[in-house]
Amino acid sequence: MKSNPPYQLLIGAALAVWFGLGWPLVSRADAFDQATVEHRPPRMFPEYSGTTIPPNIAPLNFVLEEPGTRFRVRIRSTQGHPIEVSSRTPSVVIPLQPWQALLRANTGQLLYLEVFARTQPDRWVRFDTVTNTIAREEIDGYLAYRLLKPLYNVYVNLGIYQRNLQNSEETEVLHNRSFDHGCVNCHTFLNHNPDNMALNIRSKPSGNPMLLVRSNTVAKVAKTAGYLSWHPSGRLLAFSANKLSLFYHTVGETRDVFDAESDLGIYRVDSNTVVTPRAIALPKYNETWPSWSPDGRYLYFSRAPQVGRQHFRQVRYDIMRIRYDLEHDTWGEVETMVSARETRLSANQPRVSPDGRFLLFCLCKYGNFPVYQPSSDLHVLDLQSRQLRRLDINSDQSDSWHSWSSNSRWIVFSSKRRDGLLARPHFSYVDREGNFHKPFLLPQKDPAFYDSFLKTYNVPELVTGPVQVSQRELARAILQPRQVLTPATAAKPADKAAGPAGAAPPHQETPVADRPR
Amino acid sequence: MARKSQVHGSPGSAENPRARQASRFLAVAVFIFFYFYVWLQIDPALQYHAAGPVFFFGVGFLKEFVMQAGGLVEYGAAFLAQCNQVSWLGALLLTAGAFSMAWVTRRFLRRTTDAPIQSAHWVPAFFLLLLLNQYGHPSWRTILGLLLSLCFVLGYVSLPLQSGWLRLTVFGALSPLLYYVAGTGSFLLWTGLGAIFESVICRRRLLGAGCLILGGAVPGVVSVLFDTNLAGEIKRWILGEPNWPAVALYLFFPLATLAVAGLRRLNMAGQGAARFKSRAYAVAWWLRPDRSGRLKPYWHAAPFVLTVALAFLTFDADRKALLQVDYFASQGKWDQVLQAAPQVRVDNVSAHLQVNRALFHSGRMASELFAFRQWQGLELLPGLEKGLDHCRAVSGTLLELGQVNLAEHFAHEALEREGDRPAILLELARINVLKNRPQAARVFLNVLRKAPFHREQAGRRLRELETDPRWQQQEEIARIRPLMVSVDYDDSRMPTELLLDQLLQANRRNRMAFEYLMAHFLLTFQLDKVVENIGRLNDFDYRAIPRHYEEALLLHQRLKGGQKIDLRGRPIDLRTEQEFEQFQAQTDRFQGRLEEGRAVLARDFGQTYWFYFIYAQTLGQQPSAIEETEQ
Repeated sequence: MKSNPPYQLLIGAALAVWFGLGWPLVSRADAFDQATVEHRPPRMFPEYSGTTIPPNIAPLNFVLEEPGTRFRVRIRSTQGHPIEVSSRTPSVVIPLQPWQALLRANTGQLLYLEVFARTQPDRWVRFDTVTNTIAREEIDGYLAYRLLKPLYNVYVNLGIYQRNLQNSEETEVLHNRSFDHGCVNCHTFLNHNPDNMALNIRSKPSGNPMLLVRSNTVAKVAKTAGYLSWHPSGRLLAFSANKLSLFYHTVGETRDVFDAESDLGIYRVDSNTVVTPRAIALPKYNETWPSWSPDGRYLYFSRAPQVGRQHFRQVRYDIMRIRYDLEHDTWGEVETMVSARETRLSANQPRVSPDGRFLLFCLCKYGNFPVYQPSSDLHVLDLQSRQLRRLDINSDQSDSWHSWSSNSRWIVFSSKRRDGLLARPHFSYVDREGNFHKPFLLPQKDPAFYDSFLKTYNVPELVTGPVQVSQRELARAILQPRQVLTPATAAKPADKAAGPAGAAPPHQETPVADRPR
Repeated sequence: MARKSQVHGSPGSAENPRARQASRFLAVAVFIFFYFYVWLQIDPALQYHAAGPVFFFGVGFLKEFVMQAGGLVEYGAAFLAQCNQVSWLGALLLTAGAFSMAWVTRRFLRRTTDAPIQSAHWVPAFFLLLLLNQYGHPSWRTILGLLLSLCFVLGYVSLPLQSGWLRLTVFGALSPLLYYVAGTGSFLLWTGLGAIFESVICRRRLLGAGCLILGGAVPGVVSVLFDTNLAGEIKRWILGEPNWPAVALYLFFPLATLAVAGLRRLNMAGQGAARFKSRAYAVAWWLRPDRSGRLKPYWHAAPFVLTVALAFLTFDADRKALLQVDYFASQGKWDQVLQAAPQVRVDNVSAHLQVNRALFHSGRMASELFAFRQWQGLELLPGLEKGLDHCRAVSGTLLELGQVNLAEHFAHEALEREGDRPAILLELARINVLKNRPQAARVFLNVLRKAPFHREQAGRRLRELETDPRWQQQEEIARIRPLMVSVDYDDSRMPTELLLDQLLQANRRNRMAFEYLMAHFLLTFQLDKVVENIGRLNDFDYRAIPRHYEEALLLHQRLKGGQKIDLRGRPIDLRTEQEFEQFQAQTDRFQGRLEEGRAVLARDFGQTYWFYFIYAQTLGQQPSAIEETEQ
């Protein structure tokens, strides 16, 4: 048979292309499938491993802290298509819709992350599979929080934001640039409903009012308040009036807060009146951190004897509760729920789960500002068994500012566990047996977000939907309010007021310059 | 349609070669003067130090600007302002900005008149120069905003459209774009110039009114659609342009447009000055260029000379001196701080702090403290009761002393007040390393890495953190760590003596704490404590008693009736004793009339502690050639 040079040339060219381009591709594919097993889990941040996540959470994007020139992650569960993510950088960004579909199809199932890294041109490494659990129960769709830098006395740039937990979209609720760079704080929602909320403003031109949002209508209330808590009926708000002062340490945590004098009061929304029942405004005691039980029958709060500033290390708060009858507006006896004498610690920020089963709070060495206390840890009191225990989800840095989801299955709290300075929101699943599962960090679109984010997350609150009232409306209510409510003070014969009977008790205004952030 | 040709002009028809030559000469002269004046006199690095906006690469930073009117111009301005960190580069770019403004102004004016405009187009550049004289103004924001506005106007007036409706439609379409990109000030200028052009130049008054109406409506509509605070935007613009050169710069363009419109009518009239009744018309007639464009020298030279004179007259030398002190201190150039210090003619807390730091670092605190401005009542470590301007300076001082927590406090105040400035980020990184929070330090360094000109430094520090989370190899960290206090002091105040004493309790060899403590005693007239602590000299390597301590000891001795002091084996220098005798003789001469003798005593003893003791201040002359007390 004669040789056919053109044919041979063609074969040769094809072989050249094959070995030049195709073979390495095949080799790489083979190399990937023949990855060396690294018998350990991959180092990653955030560490989304061994956690329980809601089925409606945004993608848990992360950064692999492993050497490599290329990375692949396969995300799979029992049902549905696995998600394959390839990246030339250690940042792993998971596509939103496939992620949402995968989670929704596998509630109650395990979620697997298979992580590969190419360490050499033809060498892949495979790490131990990372496993998480997809809970059956969803988390509330939105998280509201305040963002600010670690502040002392000066504040220029802070605001309240909300985030759609399903897609990580963040928007402003109220930024202080819209009202002369005042302070905004203590946002609180009625029954996790974004249409009804209250928050405080401190602004030199506009005073220190409260903003009340009811069914998306904003009113300015000419009443300075501290921490707030809605009664579940929506008819009244418990508030604290504190005399807080910021001071500094030369060793350890720099900032500290001393509360010289604080009382609780009740703002009746329907009648626009303020009352200060004696039981929650005792002389010689400081009452603070009001929090209504979900059924509205109890008001929980922290209480400690008043002492001088020089004894600040000895200040330890109990958690108390007092029964309240809404219909008759009567108060019962105060009972101690968490005793400082027994715990030898100071108890703050009581929050009862919506199902009424657990009381979640912080214990720290002293005082009532746990975010400044590295010793602050989350504890839970089972309201049925009265068993108190420290949660395993704590860190060696401050853990505080906790709140519940509307279905009682999730909590969110602020933790400084990563660096001791900047608080980040963490979520933990609470199962029906009362176990608090390993927390996970609020996911971000950019996996490396937290590496260069200088703001701290303050007062994270889970809400069922977005706040609808516009920032413009809120700012107008501060600067040019259409409606200003000036509460009347209802006379109480047993008040501790120093003045004439019926006079308002002397609630101390917190000096603006001294208020902590 | 004679108006049309007059509106669009005939480039080159009104100028002759001599005028062009003079114009070029003027341009070169302006360039040289502008560039070197900005570079050497103003010094853009000081501009940046005063009010340089922060800038970071990355989408996160950009996002802060895209949702506000004028945000993109601010973003661009922030980027360009970074070049001011290198003075010659910043000066070059600012000069280019000024020339761009002049070029666009010239094009615009020539579009509105066929009369030769001579040097009028240089006026904005001159105002810009006067603006740069006022350290602290966001000059790039003004430049970019004006340029953008003028370019839009230039494009609009160049449109070949004759239909009023079409022109109004184009104006309306461009308006929201300009408002979004450039913000309130530029938009107002655009609206004003558009209205003037249409109603005065082109005599289309209805169209001019339409421009005004659109100009008023667009911000309002944008505000409603995007839920922004219009009043806040306007307020922000007004507050950001507080000084007269900025106001003049904005006003120049509408006034110039009206003026050329008036001049054009004068040219058309073609009559002598006697025809006009008012003096204003006569002056305008005298000043106008003639049709042939014959050179009038004063048109070119006078404004230039006037501007040069104004530039030097309005230059804020005090502010420059203050900035130099702070700038050199931030660079650790202590000798230069002390060279600049005498130029500071105002009592400034921050400058005072930096001068004292410089005195310590150059080994002159104990001997030349009173050769610089000191006055009773000012703490060596002032707190917030003295305001907020000095937060960065006091943070640096506290950190060097070893009061790391308090340094952290003031560094965070500065961070919130001044923004994420590189120097503050770096300081907070150091502070967090000292507090064994390397992860927090990483956050500050990761932010710093995104800043222009700081990427390499931040990257290097991050790599060092990986291998050495305590930065033990870093000289400054290694120096501060042993000085850190170990016993807690809790308070909201900052009692100087207590804080310094605490430092010496933690480490008695903390030289800075010692010298500051002694300085504190001197400044607060606590001679007993100077005597009590003189023995601490043995903890250091002083070979002799420092000058001011000698002065205090002699004074103490005199006040205590000659009571001997245990100097721990160190004699007082004979020259100091002799000088003290001379001082005593002088004060005896002015017994009961010390105010009368102030000038005389200041001349001979103005740099001594004795003078301060009597008059509770020193005036801060150039340090005399005091023989350094060997330490």
